[in-house]
Amino acid sequence: MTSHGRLGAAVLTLLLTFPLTMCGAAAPAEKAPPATPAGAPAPPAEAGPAQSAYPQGGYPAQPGYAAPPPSAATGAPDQGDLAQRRAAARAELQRAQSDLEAAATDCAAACRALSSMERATQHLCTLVADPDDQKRCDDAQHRLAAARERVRSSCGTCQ
Amino acid sequence: MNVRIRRRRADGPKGHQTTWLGLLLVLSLAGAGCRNEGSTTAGCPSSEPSGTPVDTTIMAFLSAARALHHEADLREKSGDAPGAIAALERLIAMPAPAAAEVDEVLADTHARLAELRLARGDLDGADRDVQGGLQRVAGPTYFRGHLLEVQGLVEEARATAFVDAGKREEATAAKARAISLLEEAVRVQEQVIDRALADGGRE
Repeated sequence: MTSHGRLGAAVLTLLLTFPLTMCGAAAPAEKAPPATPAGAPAPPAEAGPAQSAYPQGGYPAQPGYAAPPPSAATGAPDQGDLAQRRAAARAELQRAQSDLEAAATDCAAACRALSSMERATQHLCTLVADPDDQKRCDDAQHRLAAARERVRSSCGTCQ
Repeated sequence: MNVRIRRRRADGPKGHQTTWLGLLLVLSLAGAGCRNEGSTTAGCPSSEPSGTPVDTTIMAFLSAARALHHEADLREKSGDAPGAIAALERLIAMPAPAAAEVDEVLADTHARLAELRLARGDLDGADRDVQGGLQRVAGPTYFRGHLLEVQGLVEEARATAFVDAGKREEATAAKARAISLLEEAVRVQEQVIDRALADGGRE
């Protein structure tokens, strides 16, 4: 995967992870005050954290349809898992950014060296006076063509 | 010595600076990123309070180098080549801290001085500058390759001068040296590209 690709994947992972985290954050905290006023009937005992008095994300429950099971039963990631995934995504994003910056620096260096190579080859070939010189010019031109193609394939065009 | 120089200027004035001005920018940003939070320092490469994330001597040298190259740019643009040379000579004469970045700046400065002298027909002076620059950089680096390239141009100009003077043998020898130097420059820059793109296209 290229640096751009890795960066994109990391960003995508972060984008996918944060909404999950936000959903998790919507669940009431353990120490949250009761949603019902004193004296009001208590909610059913089987109502888990996902069925609090606060509306849940997504479509509202429809009458006649079964209520969604608790989050634990769905296999949804818990807070610790989400935190780990988020940290991993952040680390991947940082790595991708570093790779991208390094690639930009490497391409700048390669382009600069390519320019020097082009100038040197041009001057070398203007000095050709015999077959041996011509051979050396041809060799330099072949090297230049290979280097140019390598830079083009890795970096695109040089500025 | 009247020398006909068959060459195009390798870099504009800005071309010389882009190499290490980027480094100066990075160092400046690293310094700017540091902030004092009470007794600690946050946001620095080294968060230890006693740490010195950026060597101030190197920073000062690079800053002075930037200013002097800028002055040389301005003088060169206004046609004052001797003034440009004088500005760069002041940089060469400065006490230089021991650091790879400083060596690269000085090698680049020597290369620019050599080009300026070459354009004025001062081949011996240009050769001295190339030698001074080559002492600063070893191995396959852009700076070494560029110095070899400039030295090849110096020998090319020398060959032309010998031809003008009717010195055929000396001209042939100078031309042979030019070809060898330019070949070496090609090889060095080829290695620079190979190293720079070592990971490119493999992922």
